[in-house]
Amino acid sequence: MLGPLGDLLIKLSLGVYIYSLISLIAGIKLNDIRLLMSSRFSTYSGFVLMIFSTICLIFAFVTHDYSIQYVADHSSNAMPMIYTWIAFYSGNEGSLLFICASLAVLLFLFVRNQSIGDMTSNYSTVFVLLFMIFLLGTTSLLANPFNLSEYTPEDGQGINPLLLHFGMFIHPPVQMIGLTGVIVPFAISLGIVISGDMDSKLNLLRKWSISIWMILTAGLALGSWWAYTILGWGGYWAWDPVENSSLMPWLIMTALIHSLIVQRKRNMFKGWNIFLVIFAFFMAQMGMFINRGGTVPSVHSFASSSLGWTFLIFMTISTIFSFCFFIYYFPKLHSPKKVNSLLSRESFILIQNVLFLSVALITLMGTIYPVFTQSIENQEIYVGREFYDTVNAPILFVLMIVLSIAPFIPWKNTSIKSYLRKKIPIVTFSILLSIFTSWLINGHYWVTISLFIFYFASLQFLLELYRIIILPKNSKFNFSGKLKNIFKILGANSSRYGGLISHTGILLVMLGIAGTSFMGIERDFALEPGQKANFKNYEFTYIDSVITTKSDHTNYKAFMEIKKNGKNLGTFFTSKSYYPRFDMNSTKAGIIEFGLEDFYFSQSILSEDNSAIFEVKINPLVSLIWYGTIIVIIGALVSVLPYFDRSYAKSKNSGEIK
Amino acid sequence: MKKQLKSIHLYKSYYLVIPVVLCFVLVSCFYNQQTNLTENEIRYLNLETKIKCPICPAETIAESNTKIAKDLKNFIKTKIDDGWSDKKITEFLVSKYGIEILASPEKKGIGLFLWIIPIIILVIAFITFIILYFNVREKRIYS
Repeated sequence: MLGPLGDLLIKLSLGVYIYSLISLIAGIKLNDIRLLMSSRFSTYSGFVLMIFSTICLIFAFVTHDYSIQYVADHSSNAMPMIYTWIAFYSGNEGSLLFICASLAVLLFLFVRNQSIGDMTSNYSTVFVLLFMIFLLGTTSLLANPFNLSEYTPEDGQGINPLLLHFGMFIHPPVQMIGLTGVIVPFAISLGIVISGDMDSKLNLLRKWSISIWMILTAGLALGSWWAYTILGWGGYWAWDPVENSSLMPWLIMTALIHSLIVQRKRNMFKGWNIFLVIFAFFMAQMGMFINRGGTVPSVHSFASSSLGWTFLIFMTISTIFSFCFFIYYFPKLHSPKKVNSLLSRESFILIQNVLFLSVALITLMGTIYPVFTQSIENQEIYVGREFYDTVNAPILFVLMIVLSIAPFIPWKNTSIKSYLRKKIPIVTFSILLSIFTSWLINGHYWVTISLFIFYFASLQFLLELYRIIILPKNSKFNFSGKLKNIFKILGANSSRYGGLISHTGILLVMLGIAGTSFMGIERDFALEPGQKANFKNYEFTYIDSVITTKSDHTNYKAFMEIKKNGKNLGTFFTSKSYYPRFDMNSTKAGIIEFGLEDFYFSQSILSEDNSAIFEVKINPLVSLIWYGTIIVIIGALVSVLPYFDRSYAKSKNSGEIK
Repeated sequence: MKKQLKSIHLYKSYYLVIPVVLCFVLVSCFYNQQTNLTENEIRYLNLETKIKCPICPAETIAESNTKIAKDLKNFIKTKIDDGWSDKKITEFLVSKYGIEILASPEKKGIGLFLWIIPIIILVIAFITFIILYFNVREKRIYS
């Protein structure tokens, strides 16, 4: 019953979107407001239909409607009730439907805020609609999740046990919305180029780019956190092809949001920005292709399918089209202004752009290199962590140095002498602070250097805040007045302060990465119940294991009592479940956060007499990665949300922005 | 006179940066870090990220949970304790499993080009920077 209904809804919405595209193009050609109006309303109704078809699929999962093939393949009666609500995006067809639905939401949000006669946004909508129709067409014709099965089984297959985790609720949707969302900045900038109306839409482009970038950031961080808690190896990033494919668009988007600042403030880099946005969209599609095509083996390809070629064809067409487009419009895009000096903010942003692009390209090459060797020499090779660590890590480190300098260097020009005179006290002070902190946490020298970069950047930020908040003499010196002032001032230049907050977060992430990679230690312990062991300043006692058997898996839970510096922290457990149907283990590591340091243990082999081997890791500073990401997202929100943007509020009152 | 004094003062602070940075480098490089790990354990931790698990799609044995990965880990551990060098261990594994066992290709033969790619990309990046930097500058002279 739900199958045919969902199928009908999804095909109807495809028809509605196709109609919307045709009437939009006709409306633009004939300059007829009624056609444009009709196109807009069909976009709205397509959105409603998409939402209803998604609800259909969710409902089919919740009610265990195994007459639908996809539901039978991706859920089972033994599955916890709460996971049936979200299991629909665990496979290829359902995740495509989810992508379509989220793009429908984005399209709705995008169209809703534009006035109808605004040609720039109409051009942009054409591109979003084209992408929407491609995705929806693929979903409904080639990978329809509502296809009925030939007979109705009693019980379904169940989903990959690695997906039964709290991370499943947020990471996949966030990641998918982020990757598809790259179409919006792409479409906006193409629309801007066609209409030639550069300036009025720049803020819109900036806001969408930052929002999508923020979602991508959240997706990356959630994915790392999930891998850290469930894969049971104590790491958070392994340079796996699928991880790379989500990192590459993020890198390009990072370059884009920075060079957009230059375009906004100094009216430069117009052509470069278009190039970047085209490249970002290419990378996002590359990610989809790698995920679904299954050309490159990966642990994370839960949605691999035979649809790779569809995505490859669309990617080729869209890339060729957009580069032709870029070359055709290139003469219109030159900037009247120039980079005056190497020691200026615009030149630093250019360096940053080029470096981010290099990291993205190197990652891309490393990811697809095995495909080349496979097809040319028929030799299977694997490109892993060692390559990326030796090549990308130094570039990213240089980027961090650029990050600590660039935001506090003036536009246009400055002399080395005056710059150094200003910064030397801060440099000295931050060196002293970093040595002191490093002494406190017994840090590796790379951690000390990272600490220095962190202090250098954040002290400059604090100094700037001090100058604008505390120093002005006219404001009364009381606390609440100052507090109000802070919001006022942050609001007056929300894009800058949002950015600086994000930078602080990124530097914290860098500290976390430096801490875990240079100071993390690991050792295996074979313990019998009741046996004690020591590692660094931790002492732990393995108490016992408990085995419980359920219909679809066997669960092993090992309890451990942990002391740090002689102080008892309590009893913790690590659990491991074996799923015979998938011949797969899912580990839940015991992670004890103590200050900024994690004590991480997971159980690997359990013998008959309950003695077990434990992998124990001590990961210093790892929590900084998660906290840092939260700060990055807060920063992005500050620079995007209209609440903080006072110039927006003003123009809204005077009715400039609809 | 006053101006001159001021500039002398400026130069002094300008040169201050060198000893401070030197001091920083010295302190941080010779800082004795306690890891509580033995030499062999450090070698082992380094080596396990370079060997791929033969049956997993894209995991090194450091990450994998499979039995064969555990066996390989144990093998490496015992061989390190037996006094084998890292090179000998990897060569043995390559002869047994083929070069697919390496988590990153070697810098020779089929893998060499991969290691050259980053250099090419960085050179292109540098040229792009130069082009963007100067191209924008010439346009100004035109208009």
